[in-house]
Amino acid sequence: MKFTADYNLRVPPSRELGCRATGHAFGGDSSKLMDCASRGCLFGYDREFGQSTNCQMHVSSLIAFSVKDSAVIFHGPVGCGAHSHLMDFALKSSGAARGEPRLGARWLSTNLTEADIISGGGAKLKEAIIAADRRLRPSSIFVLNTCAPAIIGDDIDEEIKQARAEVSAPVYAVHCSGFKSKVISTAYDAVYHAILKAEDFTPIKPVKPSQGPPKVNLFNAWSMGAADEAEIKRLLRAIGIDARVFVEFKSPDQWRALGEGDLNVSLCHVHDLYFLEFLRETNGQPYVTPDIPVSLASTKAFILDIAKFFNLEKTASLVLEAEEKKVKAALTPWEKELKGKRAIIIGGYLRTGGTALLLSELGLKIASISNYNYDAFGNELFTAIEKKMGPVSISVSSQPAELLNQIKRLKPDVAIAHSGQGAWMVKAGIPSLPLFAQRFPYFGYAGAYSVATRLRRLLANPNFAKNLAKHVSLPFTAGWYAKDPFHYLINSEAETSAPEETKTSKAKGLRLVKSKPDSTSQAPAKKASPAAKTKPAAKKASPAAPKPEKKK
Amino acid sequence: MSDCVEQTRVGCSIGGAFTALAIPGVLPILHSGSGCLATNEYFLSISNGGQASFTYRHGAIPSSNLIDEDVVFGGLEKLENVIDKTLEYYDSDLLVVINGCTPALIGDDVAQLLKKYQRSPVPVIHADAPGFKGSNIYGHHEVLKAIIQGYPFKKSSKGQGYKEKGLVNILGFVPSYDPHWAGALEEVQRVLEAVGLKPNILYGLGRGIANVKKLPEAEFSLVLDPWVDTEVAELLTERFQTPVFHYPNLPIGPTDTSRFLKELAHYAGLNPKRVNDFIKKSEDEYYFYLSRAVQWLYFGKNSPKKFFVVSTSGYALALTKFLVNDLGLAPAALYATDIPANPDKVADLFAQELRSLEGGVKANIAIQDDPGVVEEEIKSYLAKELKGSGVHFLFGSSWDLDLAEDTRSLLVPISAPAATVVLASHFFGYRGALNLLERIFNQVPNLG
Repeated sequence: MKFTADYNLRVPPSRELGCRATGHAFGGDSSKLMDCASRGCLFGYDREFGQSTNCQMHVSSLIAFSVKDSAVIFHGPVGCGAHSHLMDFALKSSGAARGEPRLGARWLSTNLTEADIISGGGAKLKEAIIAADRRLRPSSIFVLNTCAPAIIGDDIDEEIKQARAEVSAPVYAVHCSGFKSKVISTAYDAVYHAILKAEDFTPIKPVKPSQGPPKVNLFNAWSMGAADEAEIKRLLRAIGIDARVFVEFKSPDQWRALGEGDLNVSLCHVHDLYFLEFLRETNGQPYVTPDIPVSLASTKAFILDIAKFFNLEKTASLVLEAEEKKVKAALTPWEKELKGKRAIIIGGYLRTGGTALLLSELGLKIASISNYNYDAFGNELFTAIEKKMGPVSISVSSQPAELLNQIKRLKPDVAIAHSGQGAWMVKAGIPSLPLFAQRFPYFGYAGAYSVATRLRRLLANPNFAKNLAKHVSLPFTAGWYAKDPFHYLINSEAETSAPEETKTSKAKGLRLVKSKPDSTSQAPAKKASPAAKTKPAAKKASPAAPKPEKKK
Repeated sequence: MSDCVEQTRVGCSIGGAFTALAIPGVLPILHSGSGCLATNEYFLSISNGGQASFTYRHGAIPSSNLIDEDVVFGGLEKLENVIDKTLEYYDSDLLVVINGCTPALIGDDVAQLLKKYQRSPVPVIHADAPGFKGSNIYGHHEVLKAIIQGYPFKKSSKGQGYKEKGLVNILGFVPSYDPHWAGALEEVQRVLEAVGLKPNILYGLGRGIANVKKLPEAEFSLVLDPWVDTEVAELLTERFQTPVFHYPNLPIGPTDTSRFLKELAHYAGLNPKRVNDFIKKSEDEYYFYLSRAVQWLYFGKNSPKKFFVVSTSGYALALTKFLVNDLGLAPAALYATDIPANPDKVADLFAQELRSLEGGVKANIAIQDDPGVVEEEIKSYLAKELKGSGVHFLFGSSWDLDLAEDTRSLLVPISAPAATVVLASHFFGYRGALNLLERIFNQVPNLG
């Protein structure tokens, strides 16, 4: 599938729009999800009832903070930015683990008050940029725009332009107001957009052409640990490729070396495709987007994809074969303990998909996968999953109500959950392993071994979760658990496209989501017209869905 | 308020939701962006004592999750639907609709919508808390005021204006924001019961809507902070003629706690013998445990004498009194960073309270909204006053870790964000002081 973007826009579009047409709501099985994603119909799915989730501004700040010795300015009321402490320790430890000792999370708020809302907050922003530069002497200043100034129309680009003349650090304008997107991963495009607008990545012409091994730029993200990067670098080095990692945990000065890479590769292409396509368009730097190197099969495919580009497939195959043999020998004694256990996997769609493959390699069964969002760029991975285990039960959700309802039906033995959901799983009595804990490797062969070890230990003594579940109550009424987990999903596309698809899922366990507001539902009767019916979302649905091209 | 602020120690006003969440059975509904509550959860709970509100956590809180199209078309229809579904799917006794910036800016008339729910079996009330109006403490006040003004209190069966002898509304706590609130309130309950009062506490284990219903019947309200909840107590006076006993802070240690109990006994007309006996017993208990550690403390250890405080107004005051009067430490630079709504009044209260420190020790607590300025001032204080020498205590938050390292200070996290796990411990009274001493003394061997 081809990725396209218009880099001339002032603000990158939300991921619901554009070539991705990313969905945030779905319940059913993998076949239907992939079909829907490739037809662009995920856009039509929404919820008529929602619980508070997350904000693209948080994720934007993750990246901004991770840039070495950066300063972050939250342009907004005093509380936007309060979450920053969560990153302080992680920055220090993750930086140290990468051999980049670094400062913690340094940030300012423009502290917009009621008076600023009336008169505009632009002047305060300029002041804050200058204050950040003087006080902190940062490597870079990221200005994160929030809802209030975006609604009142503060021109942050103009203020930044004026402030640049007075500060020594580069300043980046990140348009990440929370209300602009339902899909939190829009944050990655917002930050990369800010960076690519402000930086020059044209390659510096070498005096003499390089004689050394080929150079690959790997692109990381917050959820990856130093050990993940080290594992992929190790495998590439073994086949004669040098790899360097960008953009997190590096400073803008270090980014300048990006242009020297022979090939750009995403470690998880949900994050940075927007940037890689930009580097290809403007500098002619090629890229490949193999799926995340989680599981033995995906690791192999990942390394081979890169090796193919440099005609190193033969060497790569030899190395990978030896590695796989070694890890399989280490895992075989544990097969009995893990075999047949049923798992639910919750989080971002590439990592959940890779994890599903890995668990299946370890002998576990997949009870269900819950992705925070989904688009057709995941279809290659989920096709591989279907090939291996048939259609799987799948949802696109970040809603605990749906998840806990599913858990009651599926009764999995174990969960592998993103940090937001692990606590719910444990309270529901399901022992849970984090989908990422940067201290532990997750990628490659080292990752497979680490996940297997931790899973085994977790399953050997699930007492913590069992005890908690006995004593902790969950927040919903019995009536809710009697309903379909995807009871309040609505599909505005289906209202115009007939005939309706089959209502039976190929996956076991879960009923497919209904296309229309549930009229056959158990008690009590629902309101006849959910909000989204009359909402512009429904009207926008049809023209917004471009046909993605099939790959190859 | 200052212009820009660095690493501020307050959250967003929508964090008032955590006050609602601390009252079991009370469920906030967010009319805001999808991540507004999460921003505060990270600050008020996960990064602050590792606490999360029980039963409901941020992911499970109903929210209208406003987006682009709502900014254009208004978000009320969406909110109405969220309220209807919440009434259907959640067990709750009271719903508090809290709106953030976006609805305030686009002009959603939430109050008008809520008229529809006047006959709802579960009352639905409204707190207006856009972030640009203030901090999480502003939001906390708005939620409590919404409850006092909006909850359908029934007339007491014992007659209009009935007051129950000895029943006291406990105010001055911002649940979650004070990472030690839950343990401290348990101890408040124990101590006040011991001297013959019946504390009416809204937050924490085993409490709930029954305590909300009792608010009008209290004999008086007890406020335990220089400024938090003073306006809430005033509203209770206005609505229910409830008088107020305002003690300037939640006392720590024998000197301040005993003074507090004596003043309280005088105000409430408690049995003096009962109060004095309790004071004696509690002081004995405190010194029994403390004296056992003295041998350890003097066994080749050299505990620092000077201390810095960067905390809330309440804890800055309580700590200063305890550290000077009971522990014999020497104040260096002291700051309150919780952005009081009435800074002049709070400054006067500080001056008045610190005038009477034991042994004529002088101390001054500065109110500073911008912790970046605090950091600069502490560094320059060290260079000028202490010639950069020595080791000191720093009572603050986990944002002060770097400052502690730069200034060779032993950090004792007290206030938000306190990135240590807090389960049931607290710093109130005689027993709370022992908890605090454990934290302080445990830092001493780190001197090296």
